[in-house]
Amino acid sequence: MITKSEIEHLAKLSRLYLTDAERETLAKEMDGIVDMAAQLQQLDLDSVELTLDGRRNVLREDEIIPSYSRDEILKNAPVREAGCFSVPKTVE
Amino acid sequence: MNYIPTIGLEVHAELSTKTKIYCGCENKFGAEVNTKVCPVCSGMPGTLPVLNRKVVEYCCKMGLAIGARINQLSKQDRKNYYYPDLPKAYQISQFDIPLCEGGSVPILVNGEEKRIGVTRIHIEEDAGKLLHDDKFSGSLVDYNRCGVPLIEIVSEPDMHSSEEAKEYLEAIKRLLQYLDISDCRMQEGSIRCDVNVSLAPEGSDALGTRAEMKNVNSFSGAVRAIEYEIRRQTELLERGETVVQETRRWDDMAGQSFSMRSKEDAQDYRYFPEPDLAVIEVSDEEIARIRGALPELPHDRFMRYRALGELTDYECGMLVGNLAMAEFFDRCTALERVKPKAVCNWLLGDISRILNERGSELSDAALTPENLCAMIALIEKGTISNTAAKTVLEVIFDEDRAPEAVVEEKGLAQNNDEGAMRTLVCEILDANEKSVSDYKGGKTNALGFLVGQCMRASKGKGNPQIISKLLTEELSKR
Repeated sequence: MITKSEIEHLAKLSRLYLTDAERETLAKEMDGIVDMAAQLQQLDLDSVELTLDGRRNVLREDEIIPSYSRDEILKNAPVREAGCFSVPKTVE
Repeated sequence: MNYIPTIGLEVHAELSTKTKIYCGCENKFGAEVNTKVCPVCSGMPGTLPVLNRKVVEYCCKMGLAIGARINQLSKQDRKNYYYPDLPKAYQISQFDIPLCEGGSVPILVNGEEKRIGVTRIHIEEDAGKLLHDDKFSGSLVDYNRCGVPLIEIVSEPDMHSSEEAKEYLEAIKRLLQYLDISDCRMQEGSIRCDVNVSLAPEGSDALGTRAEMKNVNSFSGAVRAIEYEIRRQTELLERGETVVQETRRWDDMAGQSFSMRSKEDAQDYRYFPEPDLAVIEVSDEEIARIRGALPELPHDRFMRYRALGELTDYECGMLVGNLAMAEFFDRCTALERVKPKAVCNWLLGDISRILNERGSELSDAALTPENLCAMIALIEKGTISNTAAKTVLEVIFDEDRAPEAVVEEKGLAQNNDEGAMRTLVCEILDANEKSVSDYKGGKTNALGFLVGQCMRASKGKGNPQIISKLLTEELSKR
């Protein structure tokens, strides 16, 4: 069972602010998701080799490809300042 | 009660690959902000990472150098956390199957070898840099460092003093330098570490509760952080309180650590396999190839120098700690012209002094092993004095010229002519009756003054050994 406090913990980690009603709904919905995923545990994977999609060693050579221009990259910044992405003040 | 500290270290080293770990952006420190960035390393939706082959190779190099086991199949995982320096909101790292496991790093503790166990070495990506400044309205983010490849070397809790931790960190740095896989520029943050410290009562088998300190950006900072933490925990325990298992932030300026996260906020990274990257496979052939290409390792070099029987541990360590100097030393000793000790003295003495004054590296100098050894041979033969040799060094440091020619040109040859020197010695004794009577009266240091006078009168070309001998002879006649 996914509890409301677990939902609260996940919401906090994901920087989400939820109402009490949302917490309740999400707890139920996530329960269903976890139950569905839990079916995987019935599989016998002992003889299955480590792989994600059957491919191994998809690698590239250590060769420089020109980066994007700063203007181009900063088009994605909600706010830009002094050549940087500017975000709300963050203190550790 | 006496408490024994136990220390574990997690060292993050930036690899000196040409490009980042998952994209072709240049891996370069000090570039203008946000000019080494593309959609992959800035975490744009729809982009896909592709692993840099060299990152796997460099990590395996380090693993093999410390006798680690290479996991021939390993995978990458997402470590999830929210912070503006991490645009994807997850860091690609390795969780349950790192590239390397096990192995150990030899260090010297009071001249004795001790091996510090290594739990694992894995690859991961660096985060960007946050710039805080009151003159800006927000916090600024520079993503140039985002996606720079790192290896994280996790030690076993095998160290029991800040000195051992420092030795271990130095050993790791030397390995990275010898393997040529990291620039090791500490001031640029290319090596950073997290420090774990716990205390247990002396004689107790169980480990105490540990506190982890993050944000330690220099080796000396690590030593200060460890010593601070040992004091803090000792005081807690002596007051009968308990140490809380927590992550603390080390503030090197304040010389203090601060609690970062309380227990209910304990980090929960929700690792899961990175679906965008394929499994990494390292073949037997690849392992054999990397192993075969390993250079002589710093500890082995240290032992080889120690076995020469002429150098102190301090001197061996100083040479080994500077790869360019160690290689130069080896090229000198291979010539078998002069004693290794003499070469070492010049390297660690005047040559280091000149390099420090100029802030340059030995590899930038025109000095050759042949010329240095030829110069030392001239001193040993008595052709030039140590003082004159310093003048020769200043020349051959920047110009590839035979020291003999420099001695000739500058007229630096020592006067070893005893007859001429004896005349000069007698003149000096005649002119310095006070010193002669002082000497006769038991003030033996008057001899030093007289040697100095003779050296000056000979314009520095007299052989001080001969002068000293002649002075003693002549004084005994008076």
